[in-house]
Amino acid sequence: MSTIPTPATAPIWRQHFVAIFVTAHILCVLISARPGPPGGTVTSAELNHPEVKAELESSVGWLHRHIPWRETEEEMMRDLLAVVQTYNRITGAAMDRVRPYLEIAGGEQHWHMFGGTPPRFPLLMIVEVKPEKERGFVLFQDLNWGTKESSAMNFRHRKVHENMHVGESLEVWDAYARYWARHWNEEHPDRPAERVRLSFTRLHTPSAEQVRQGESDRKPEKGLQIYEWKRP
Amino acid sequence: MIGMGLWRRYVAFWNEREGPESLALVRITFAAALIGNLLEQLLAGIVLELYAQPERGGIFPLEYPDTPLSLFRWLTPTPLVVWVLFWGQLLAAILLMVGLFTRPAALVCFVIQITLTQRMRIWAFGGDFVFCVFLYLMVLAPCGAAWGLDARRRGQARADVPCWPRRLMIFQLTIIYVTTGLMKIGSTWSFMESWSALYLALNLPGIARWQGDWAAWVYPLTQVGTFVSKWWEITFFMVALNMRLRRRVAEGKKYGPLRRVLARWDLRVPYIVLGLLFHISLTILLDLGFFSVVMVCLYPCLFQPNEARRVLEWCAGRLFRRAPSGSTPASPARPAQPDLQ
Repeated sequence: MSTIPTPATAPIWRQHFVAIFVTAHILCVLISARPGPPGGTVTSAELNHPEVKAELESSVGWLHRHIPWRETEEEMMRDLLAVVQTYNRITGAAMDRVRPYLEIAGGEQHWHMFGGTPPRFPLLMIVEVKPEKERGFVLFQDLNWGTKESSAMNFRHRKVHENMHVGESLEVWDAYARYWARHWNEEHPDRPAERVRLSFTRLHTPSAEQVRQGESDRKPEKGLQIYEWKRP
Repeated sequence: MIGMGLWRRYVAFWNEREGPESLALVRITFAAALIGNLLEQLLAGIVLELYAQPERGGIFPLEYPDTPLSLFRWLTPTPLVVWVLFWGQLLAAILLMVGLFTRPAALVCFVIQITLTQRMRIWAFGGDFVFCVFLYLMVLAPCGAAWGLDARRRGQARADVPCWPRRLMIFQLTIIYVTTGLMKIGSTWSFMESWSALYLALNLPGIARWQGDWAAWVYPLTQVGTFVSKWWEITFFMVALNMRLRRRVAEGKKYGPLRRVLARWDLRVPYIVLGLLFHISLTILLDLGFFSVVMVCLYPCLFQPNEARRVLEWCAGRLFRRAPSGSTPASPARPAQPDLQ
């Protein structure tokens, strides 16, 4: 047997309370889940990021070719950025109003999981260690595909790398370097780590056509965002 | 007066009541996902790394928690505190799944989830935030009204529960998918860059399980995947709309041609089937932890009580060769009509 929902049985005041609460909750969630840039801002540093630049060149270039409301792409870009900044200012002010409730109700609704654009130039973290009394750095963690280290790594480390690339504090970089130093020391108790160097390598994803033609070189750019930790 | 009438109808809508089986099924599947998420951390040996102080097995320094509910405002994440919270949440999740002390168990799970997610902010994936927002709804919902030890202790399941908690769950699920879809405005999610987003995702080192060269040989398939996943997400609101329209049609409401077409087929079927394919593909191709599992475990909130009852009775019949305890007998007061939202 199946049924259509039956009418309410609760006291009237409680029914009104439920309706008000549910409406307020929905409004808070809608405001918090509004689409927008991660972090809610667009800074010049973000605009100069290779991924952002490539995306803007592609999409504004397309707009300029098909709906050219200005003479140049740069002017169109300025118009679009002004719209985005205004949108961020208005929605940001609304967000400030609802944040206290959302902090109690399970946090803000940043559903960027698969939003945005998968990077055209993905980044890999490289961990190198200089053992005590040795002259140079040795590669400790190459987190590229197929390496032993990469397979052994918990998926959450990738999120850490992503956050560190976007801009975590030096304290975070320091803590992460110490973590790898401890790991090195556990694996090589006779060669304790004196320095740890963290860096990113940027890859260039070839197009499907290039791969089919045998050009699958990812042109790694090594040594980006280098951080070096030294044992105190 | 029109405004008052609309408000009364609005209040009546949110206060309608239905059988408790759908909420019970979501409670069981969602708690199972939470248990799985905790066991994954335990088996990977990263519990202390995620939550403890750096000098006591953790990695990152403690930031002062933003959220007023974080227990780390008052507690220090020593290994003992971390293990107490971890095992406390695991125990509460088990109680939530079996429906014993259901609401207190949901509250404990929620507060600890908020505490731990805030502590591991730098590690947190989308799935961790899904646990937070749905545990809040679990606290509000009478999830233990049927198919649990609370119902058995009472002697029988409650005949009905308010509809609004399940409707909020449907709303939240819709928000997650639609928002995620709307964020796919990048040119690689469109014809501007020939729907190449999935191809690029399959070429992300570490996230993709295998080196992505193989994707070049099935590029048209990845383009179809990009198009379908984007538009499946953006149009996910159609499920809730379709449920509402079909319910109104079943009540005898006459609609115009557009809404009649929208109400003609049960859209939950294609959307759930696509959702399962989407999440299974993600899990096979990309290493994203428990994100897909928790999302799929929320799908039972789309089931009507009679459908949830059939699912649970089928499962219980398979597992125990009898009907589940505390199940709700169909109320004789309810008419035999299509069960719609």
